[in-house]
Amino acid sequence: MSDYTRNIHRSGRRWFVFVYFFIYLFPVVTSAYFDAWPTWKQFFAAAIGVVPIYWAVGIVEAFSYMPMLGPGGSYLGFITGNMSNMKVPVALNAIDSAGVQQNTEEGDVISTIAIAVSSLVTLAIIIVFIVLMVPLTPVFASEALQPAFGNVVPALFGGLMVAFLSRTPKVAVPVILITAALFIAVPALKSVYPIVLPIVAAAAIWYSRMLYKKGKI
Amino acid sequence: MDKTFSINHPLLFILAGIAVLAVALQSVVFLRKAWKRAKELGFSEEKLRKLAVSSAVFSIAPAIAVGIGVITLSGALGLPLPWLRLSVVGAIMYELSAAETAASSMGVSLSGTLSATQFSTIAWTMTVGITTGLILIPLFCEKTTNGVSQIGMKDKKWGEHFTNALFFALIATFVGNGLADVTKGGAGVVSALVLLVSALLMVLCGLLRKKLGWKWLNDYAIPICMVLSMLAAIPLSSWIV
Repeated sequence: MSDYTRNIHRSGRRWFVFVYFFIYLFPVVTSAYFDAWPTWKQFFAAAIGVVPIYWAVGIVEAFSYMPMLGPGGSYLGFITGNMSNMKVPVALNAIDSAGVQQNTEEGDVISTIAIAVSSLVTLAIIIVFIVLMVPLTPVFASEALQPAFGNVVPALFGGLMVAFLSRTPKVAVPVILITAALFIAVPALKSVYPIVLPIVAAAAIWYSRMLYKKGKI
Repeated sequence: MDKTFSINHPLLFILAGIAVLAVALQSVVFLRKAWKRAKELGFSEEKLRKLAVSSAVFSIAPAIAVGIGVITLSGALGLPLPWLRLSVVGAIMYELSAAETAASSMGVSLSGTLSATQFSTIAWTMTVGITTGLILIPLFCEKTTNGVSQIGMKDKKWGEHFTNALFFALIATFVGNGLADVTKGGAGVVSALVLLVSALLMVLCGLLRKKLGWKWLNDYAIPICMVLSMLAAIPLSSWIV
């Protein structure tokens, strides 16, 4: 492991603790200051509907995205959030246009730069929205623009699919076709897609390994 | 400071602001570290600048969607909580449903007015909901990413195929996600067509890059495809839905 990577791990862990503290500060101080602590009963009733699913998704997303983003990209991406609708695609795009491989240090620095820039842009745009909420709301939250902003994810992944197809079409084409057919046949998979992802990943790795051993890729 | 609770109380803005500032600071620190290391690894300043600009351009449309998410949630939860939740760890797809689930467990609706306790219950639920990633990443990131880079070190070619397989799986899952509701008609068809338009535009960008030698398209192809296909969703939606 290079000094850079070691340093990223060390500093990444520290930042996690630091940000973790501030994330919890919000509900703690809010409850204390306004004397508004929820009772255990209230909290559990609310948490039971959210926590099991969110934790399951969190576990799966953590282990699915870490190998794709590398250390720097992971520490930063998970803290800044909006992974699948922004951070992972922006890293993929940067890795593709820089022509680097993710499991290398080059791949990691490129995905870190892309994710850092992306989070700064996002933070800035959210602040602009908050400050200019009154004039911006009628424009961006209008009925007319709803279909555009409701389709960010397909708009992102259509292009990314074509960009990545050429890497190893013999693996990419069947993996994408079979997965797409599966989702169309069972639309309910949409609501559990983070759980589907590692299964597709395992199948893709297995298929890729098989072709590789046979010398076909 | 006034102790009367309000969803837009100045104290809440301060709490959210501190956390957002911490995350902005971390982004700057990591950006500087990665930038410096990238130059040591032989990337030119110009290439890195182009990469940064293209990543920034890439992020604008999804960031606007996140901004709209903040505005949508602000009616019920005020600005500070959605600002925090969508700037730090959270994701636009999860936060709205987390807030709605927590609110409905208390028999209240997000379209009504929340008491301080109802608000804090929602804040607690949303915060606890996003905790797994916060625990797992610092604990397992080193082992997981080392494992993957060792695959690459043992056999470089297989290492490339391994990470490509992961990318294909991710893309396949989201392509599937975009197509899932196509048989239901309406908005499902629009999503599928947006995906198709984005893919076709990317093919067109590839052709333009090859035939006309427009190398700059390499950095901006995905943002262009994304924005144009999002815009295409507007007329598509009015025809189909």
